[in-house]
Amino acid sequence: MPQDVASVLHHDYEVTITDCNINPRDVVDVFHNLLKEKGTRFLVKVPKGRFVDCLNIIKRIHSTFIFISLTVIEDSVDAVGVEPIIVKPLKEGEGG
Amino acid sequence: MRKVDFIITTDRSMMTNHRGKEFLGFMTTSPPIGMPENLWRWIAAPKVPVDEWGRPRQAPYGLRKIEAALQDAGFSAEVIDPDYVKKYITAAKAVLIGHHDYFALNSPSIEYWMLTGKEPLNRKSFLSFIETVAYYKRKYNPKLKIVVGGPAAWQWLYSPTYLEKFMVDTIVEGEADRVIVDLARAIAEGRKTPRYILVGPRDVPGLDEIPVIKGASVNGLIEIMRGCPRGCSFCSVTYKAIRYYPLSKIEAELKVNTSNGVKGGVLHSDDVPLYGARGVTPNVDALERLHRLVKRYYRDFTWSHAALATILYGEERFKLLSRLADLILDENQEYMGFQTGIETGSKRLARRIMPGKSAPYPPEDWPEVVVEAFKLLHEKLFIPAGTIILGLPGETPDDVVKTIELVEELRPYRSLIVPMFFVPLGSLRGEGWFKPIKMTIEHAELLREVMRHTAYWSKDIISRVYMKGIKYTPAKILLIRFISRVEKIAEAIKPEDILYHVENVTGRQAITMTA
Repeated sequence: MPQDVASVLHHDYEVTITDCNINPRDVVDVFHNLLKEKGTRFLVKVPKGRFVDCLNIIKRIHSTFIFISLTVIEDSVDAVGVEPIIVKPLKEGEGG
Repeated sequence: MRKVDFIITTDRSMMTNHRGKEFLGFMTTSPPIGMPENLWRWIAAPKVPVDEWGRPRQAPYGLRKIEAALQDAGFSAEVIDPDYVKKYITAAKAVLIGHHDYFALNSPSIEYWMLTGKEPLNRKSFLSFIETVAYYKRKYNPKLKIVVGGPAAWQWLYSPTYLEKFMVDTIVEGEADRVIVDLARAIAEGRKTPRYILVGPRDVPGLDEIPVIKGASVNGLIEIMRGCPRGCSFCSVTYKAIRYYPLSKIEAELKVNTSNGVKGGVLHSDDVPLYGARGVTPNVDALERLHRLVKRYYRDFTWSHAALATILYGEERFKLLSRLADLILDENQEYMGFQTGIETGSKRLARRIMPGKSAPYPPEDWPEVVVEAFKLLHEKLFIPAGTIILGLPGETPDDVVKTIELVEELRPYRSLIVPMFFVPLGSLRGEGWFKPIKMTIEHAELLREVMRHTAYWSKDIISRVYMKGIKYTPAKILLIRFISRVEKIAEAIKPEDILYHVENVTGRQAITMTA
C-alpha cells in the first residue's frame, strides 16, 4: 500500500478499474464473484482525476450491494494494455 | 486568532433547535407556503445561540458524535456555527459537513418539492452554505479538505456536478465514529485521502468505540441504541448490528445536555420500546429503568421513533405503554410524541416488503395492528406521526385503496400522517432511483385524505398541547392560520385537481433536480 494513500478501513480485495467507461454490470459481476469468496471489504482504485467519471460504476456497486464496505481512491492507473478491471486479494493487514 | 484544525458544521436548516420543538424542523423540508421565506425560516430554523468563538450551545447530535470522536483522539476539532466558519477557514485543515438531506432528495422534502414545484428550504439553505464554503476554500485556503457525511451522504453520488463545483474531497457514508479518526489522521499528515468511504456492517463501531458527546445536542436528542431487527426491505437501518447503549453511557450524555442548560430531550432509536429487547419482545425492566433515568434529568422528553407492533404487543402482554405513561406523563409533560411507520394499509404489500414490521403479529393483521395501536396511543396521550409510502415496488391501485381505507379508520385518533414517496434505501436501493413516481388518481385521493387528517389534528395538537406558553404565541398564530388554509383546501380539492397539479409541477421540478 503506497504511503500517500489513507489507510482507513481494512480490505479483503483491491479492485482497480482502469476504464471508467466499462459497463457497470461487468463490475457488479466481479463483485458478485468476490462476495462468493467471502470478501465484503473492498478498496477500489480509479484513475487519477476520474472519480466523477467513474461515479456510474460506484453508484451501481452502492445500489446493488448492501453488506459491503468500500473505499474508493484515485490512483495512478496505467490503462494501456491492461484489463479494464484488475482484482487483487489482500492479506490481513495489507491495504489499510 | 483562535485556530481549529477540523471545523465541523452544517447549514442553518440543521444548525438550529427549531425553537425547542423538534417537529417544527419538518418545516425546513418544505418550501415556504402561504408566507414569505424569511418568516418561514424564522419560525422553523432560527439561529442558535453561540459563545464568543462561534460554538453553538446546541448542535446536531451526529456532528457532536464526530466532534467527540476527534477530540477523544486528540485532534483540534469543534462544531462551529455556519455564520462563524469564515473566521476559522484560513488555518483549518478540513471542514467536515453533515446533513440529513443535502439536496432534498429524502422524504418528506422530495414530496413537498414535487407537490409544490418549489425547492425546499433545506436544499436552498444548504446550497447557499456550501457555495460559500467552496468560495472560502478557493480564495483563502486551497489546501482545505471538504468532507461530507451523515445520513444523506449518498446523495452526493447522485450529484456529480455539485461534487465538482463545490470541490468536495471525500464522501463518508455510514457510521463514521471510528473511520473519521483515521481520515482526520490522513488529512493531518498530508496524505492523500479516499474520495468515498462506505462503512459497511462489518466495520460499524462497537459500543465502546462510540464516543460520548462533549457538547449539548439539538433539543437534547440522545441515542439509546443503533440498529433494528424488523428487516423492512425499504430501510437502511435494519442491516446494522443491534447495539444497546448501557445506561451509564446514556446517563453521561444526559449529564452533558443538562449541564449545558438543556431541560428536555428526545430519545433516539428506530424503535425505542425495543430498547434492551431480545428479538421483538420488549424488555419491560430495561425500559422502565431507562425511562426512570431519563426522567431524573429531563423535565419532558419524546421518542424519535417507535414501532406500532411493539407498542401493541407490549401493552397486551405487559401493560407496557400504561406503565411507561405512568413514568413519563406528569405535571411537566402532558403528552408524548414520536414518529412511526404505517407505510401501507395493504396486507399483500405488508407481507411482501415488511413482513417483520407487524411481528409478532402476522403481516395479514397489519391494518388491525395499526388501528388498535393508534386507538391505544390516543387513550394514553401518545401522539404518533405516522408515515405512509407511495409508490413502493409492486404497488397496485388496490393497495393504495387499502391505505386510503386505513387512513379513514384512523381519523378518530389524535395523530399526524405524513405521505412519503418511495426512496430506494435498504435492500430495495437498486430499485428505480429518483424517477418521480407515476401518480395515479388513487394516490391523489390518498394525499387528500392525509391532508384532511393531518390538518384536522395539527390544529388540535398545536393549540392544545404542543405550543403552550406566551413565547410561542406569534409562531402559533401563524401556524394555525396556515393549517386552517390547508384544511380549507383539503376539504374542497378533488383528487383530479391534485393529479393535474402534480403532473404540471413535476416537469418543472425535473429541471432543477438535475445536478
